[in-house]
Amino acid sequence: MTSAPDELRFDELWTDFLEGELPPEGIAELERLFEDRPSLQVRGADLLQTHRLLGFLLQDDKQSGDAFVGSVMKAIPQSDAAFTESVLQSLPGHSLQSPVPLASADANPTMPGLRGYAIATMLLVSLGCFLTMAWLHSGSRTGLMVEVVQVANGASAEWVPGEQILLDELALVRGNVQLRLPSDVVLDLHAPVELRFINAMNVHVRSGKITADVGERGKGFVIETTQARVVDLGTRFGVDASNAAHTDVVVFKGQVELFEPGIKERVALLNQGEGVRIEKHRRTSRIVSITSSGVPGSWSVQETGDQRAVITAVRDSMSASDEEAKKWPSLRNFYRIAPGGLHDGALAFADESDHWTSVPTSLRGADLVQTFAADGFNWWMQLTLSIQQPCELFVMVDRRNDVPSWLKEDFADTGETIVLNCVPRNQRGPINRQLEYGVWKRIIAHPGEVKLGAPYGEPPSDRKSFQPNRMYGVAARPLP
Amino acid sequence: MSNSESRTDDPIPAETYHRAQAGERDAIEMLVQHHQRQVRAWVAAHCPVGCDADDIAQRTFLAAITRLGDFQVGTCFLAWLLTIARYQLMTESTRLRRLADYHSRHAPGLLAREMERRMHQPDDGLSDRLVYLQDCLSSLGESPRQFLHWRYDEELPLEEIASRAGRTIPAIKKQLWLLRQKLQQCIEAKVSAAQGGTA
Repeated sequence: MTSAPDELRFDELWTDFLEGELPPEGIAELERLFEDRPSLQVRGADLLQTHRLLGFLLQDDKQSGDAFVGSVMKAIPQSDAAFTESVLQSLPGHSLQSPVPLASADANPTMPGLRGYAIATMLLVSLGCFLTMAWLHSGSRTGLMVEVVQVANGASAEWVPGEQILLDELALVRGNVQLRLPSDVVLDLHAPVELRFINAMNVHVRSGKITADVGERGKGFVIETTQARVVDLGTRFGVDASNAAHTDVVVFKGQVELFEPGIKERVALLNQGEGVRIEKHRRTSRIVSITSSGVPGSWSVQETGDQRAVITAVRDSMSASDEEAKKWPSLRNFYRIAPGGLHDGALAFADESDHWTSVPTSLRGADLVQTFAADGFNWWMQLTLSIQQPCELFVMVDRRNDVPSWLKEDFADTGETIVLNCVPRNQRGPINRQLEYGVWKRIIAHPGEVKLGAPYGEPPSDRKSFQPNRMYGVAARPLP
Repeated sequence: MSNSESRTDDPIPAETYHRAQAGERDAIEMLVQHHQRQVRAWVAAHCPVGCDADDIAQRTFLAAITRLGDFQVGTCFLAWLLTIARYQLMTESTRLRRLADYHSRHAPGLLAREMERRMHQPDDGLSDRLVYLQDCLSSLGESPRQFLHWRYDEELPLEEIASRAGRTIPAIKKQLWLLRQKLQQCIEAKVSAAQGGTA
């Protein structure tokens, strides 16, 4: 232990650095200390290596080793014949055919055979005048031919829609891209994101957020992250691995199975409108609300930073433990906030395909909260909205039964009507009925939290003959 | 974990390497299984701040598997793997360097340079340090081991560790710092003793 002022300061900064809590100015201060005292560079590197080895040793068990071996074996080509051929081709007498011209690079004289691989894996191509997008063409056989469907917001000046490109790895640092894999799976990528294309049915997301739209041919498509293995069962879903400590998985349509990498036992089966955060050791927690602008792939589990948004977050009184969520799967539902998203055809619920129609002029373009239909028959919940600017807050309520007392007390009936088109659960059938909803309004003069009650004040006395209301909807628009 | 280790330390029979070169999956799996721990530890200790060590280790094995024909049976397979791992880390370091303002956000540039320097050292005694660290860990009492378990195995946030331990976050940070220091000093003492110095 040392006591020089520089070293004491180093100790403080270094502790925050290892905990990921050192702000940029702290990094700069650490850099200055390293410049002034080169011995601290060596000490820092020693401590960093010990820190890394601690992490390795304390996590090193048979399960972790087996999972690693499994991940390597799974990533090698599936066809034995193709794999054998790829190995045989590397034997003397076979020439390595590369799909792209390779630049020259220094080869290790003691390992001539590695030359091709080293050159290929080190060829990082940048597009535009800066590193707008980089992709790694590899001479190995793990590259995948994909179709560029859309390029937007400055992601690349060179890729054009319809172009076929060979990708092994992709680091997108600006804009967004839509790609179609040979399995017809369409991926929406929003920068910053880094991923590896293992094959047409499997991608590994190192960091960032992607959304997958999986058709019939792509059923079984897998997205892997450090904490999760998400297996699609015919669906549209999103995976966010922006934070190294956890992975968020949300299902917009259909179903996915969630696993921990290398472990056969399923962590969860998620349906439309459900989402979980998975951390190490299978710890999961509910994702309560997401914000989604309606642009494919544009969603966030964070509170929106959009200053124009009226509602920034929604939560309810039903936060569930993992055990409760397993017993009551609807406790994994999330609320979806769609800024400016209320229009004819807008989805009404996060967990069903019912949609709004005959939207009155006063509501068009309002921020919409997709609640979940599973809550329609509920007398114990409370909803809390975080509102960031003065607004008109609307609650749309099924007119078939009495409206709840909290609505009568806090809101005024506008006399307007909005119609809910109900769609059967299989999501492919025709609209099977239309329900009229009354529109109630309250002026929120001061930003803050607003609480809404349950669809019912208390359970009905005769549950058998009772026809429950569909769940209410919520919308808001800023005061002029 | 020297690159110049001889193959005589390798318990895997030459026949397994030949079978792996012929593309037999069970032989390849055996090679991965046998060497994964040392490769992963080496990569974990050398990878730049911000990279995923197991991802680099996986890429190392995949690169090695597709180039198995280049491996000369009879030489040290681990040394060959670590050379490939070094190339993978160089690629990763290059990638991270090229990301805009990476260093100002994630790590001091001088630290990254020192880590890269170590990556190129032929033998940095890492396998010994791993064994020493294990010994040093065993000498700790149950309470400090619990803190390390929460921090490194369960990877709990500091808030949760503080809540479980009934202490403040600054106290937890200090405790972790002291433990890391203690382990570092323990390792250095063992390295020194092994080199014939005074422990």
